[in-house]
Amino acid sequence: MKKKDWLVIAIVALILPALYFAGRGLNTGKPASPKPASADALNPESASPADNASPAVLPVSSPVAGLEAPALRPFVKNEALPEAGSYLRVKQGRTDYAPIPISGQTTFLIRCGEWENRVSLSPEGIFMQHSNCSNQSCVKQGTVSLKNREGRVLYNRIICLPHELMLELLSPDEAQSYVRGQ
Amino acid sequence: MSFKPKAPGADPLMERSRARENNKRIALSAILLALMLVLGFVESLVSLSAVPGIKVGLSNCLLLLTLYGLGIRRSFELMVLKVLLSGILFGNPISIQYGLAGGLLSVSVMSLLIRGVKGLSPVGVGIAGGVTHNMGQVLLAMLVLGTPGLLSYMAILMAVGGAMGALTGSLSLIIRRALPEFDPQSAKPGPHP
Repeated sequence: MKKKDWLVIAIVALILPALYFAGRGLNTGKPASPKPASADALNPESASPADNASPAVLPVSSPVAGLEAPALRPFVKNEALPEAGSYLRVKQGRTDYAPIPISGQTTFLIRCGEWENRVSLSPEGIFMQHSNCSNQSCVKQGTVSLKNREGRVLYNRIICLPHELMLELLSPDEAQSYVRGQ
Repeated sequence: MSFKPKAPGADPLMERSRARENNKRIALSAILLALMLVLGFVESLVSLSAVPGIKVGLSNCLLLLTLYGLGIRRSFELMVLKVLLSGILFGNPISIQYGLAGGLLSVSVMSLLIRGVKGLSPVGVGIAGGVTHNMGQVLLAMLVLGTPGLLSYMAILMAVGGAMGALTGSLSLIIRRALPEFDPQSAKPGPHP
C-alpha cells in the first residue's frame, strides 16, 4: 500500500462515524414528516405496482387474540391512537399509512398488484414471514422488537426494496410524535 | 482485384498493429464481462450476512483491471453491460437500478482518483470504489423510501464496502503483476511485424 492509500482510509474513517451517528440521531428522534395516502390510493382494485398503487390488506390467518386483522388506512394527522405497547408503521413507496397498534398476535398480507408480503405482528416483535420479492432480503432481516432494535443494523425497520415496502416498529412515544407530524 | 487508396504516409504495419491491438482489447473486454457476470452470479448464491447489501464485490476487482488496462470509457461500458445483463439473465430487474446507482458513482470516483491523484495504488482506489458503490445504492434506497434515517445503515455498508474494496484492490494488484496486459507501464514498445 502507498501513502495516499492511507489518506483514503483516513478520510473514510472520518466520514463513517459522522454518518452513523447522524443516522442514529434521525432514527431515535422523530420520524420523518409523514406523507399521507390520498383518498384514491386505497382502491384495492388498482392493478399495477408501477403506479405506486396502494396496498390492499388481506388476512391470512386468524389472529390469536380475537382482534380484527389490521387495515391499512390513510394517515390522519393528530388522530387519536388506541393504546398499545408498540405500533407498526407501514410505508409503501413514499406513502405513509396510519400506525397500527400491536396488542396481540396476528399475521396479515399486504398485497400491491402482484407484490405480496406477509407480516407477522405480536407484542414480542414484528417480522416478515413471507415475500414474493426477488431477493428475500426482507425475510432474512429477522424480528424487530423494542428490545433488540438498538442492536440492529436497520434499527427498527424491515425493508423490502423490490416492493418498496418499509415496516417500522414504533414505541408509543414515537407513534404519538409521528401522528403529530413532528 | 481492388485497391483501397491509402492515406499519404500511412504505414501498413502500424495499421495492422493497431487493428490487432483493437481486436485484442475487444476480446479482453468480452472475457472480463463474462467473468464479471459469473462472479456476480456466484456471489448472489452465497449470503455473507443477514444484513442486506453485504457482499464481496469480486466484480470490482475486474473493474479495477479494466480501468487500469483498458481505459475509463471501456470501464463504464462494461459496468453498465454487467448490471443490465445480470438483471436480465438472473431474473432480478430491480437490481438494475441499484446496480447502476452504485456502479456509476463507484466507477466515476475510481476514474477521478486514477486520473487525478498520483501515488494511489489499486488498493486505495478499490477502497474508494467499494465505499462509493454501497453509498450510491443506499442513497437511492433513501430517495425511493424517503427515509433519511438509513444513514446509519449506509455508514455500515460503506465500512464493509471499503474493507471489501481493499481486498479486491489487492487482488487486482496481484493479477496486474501476473498479466502485463493490464499494466500499461509494461506495454511492449513498437508494432508487431
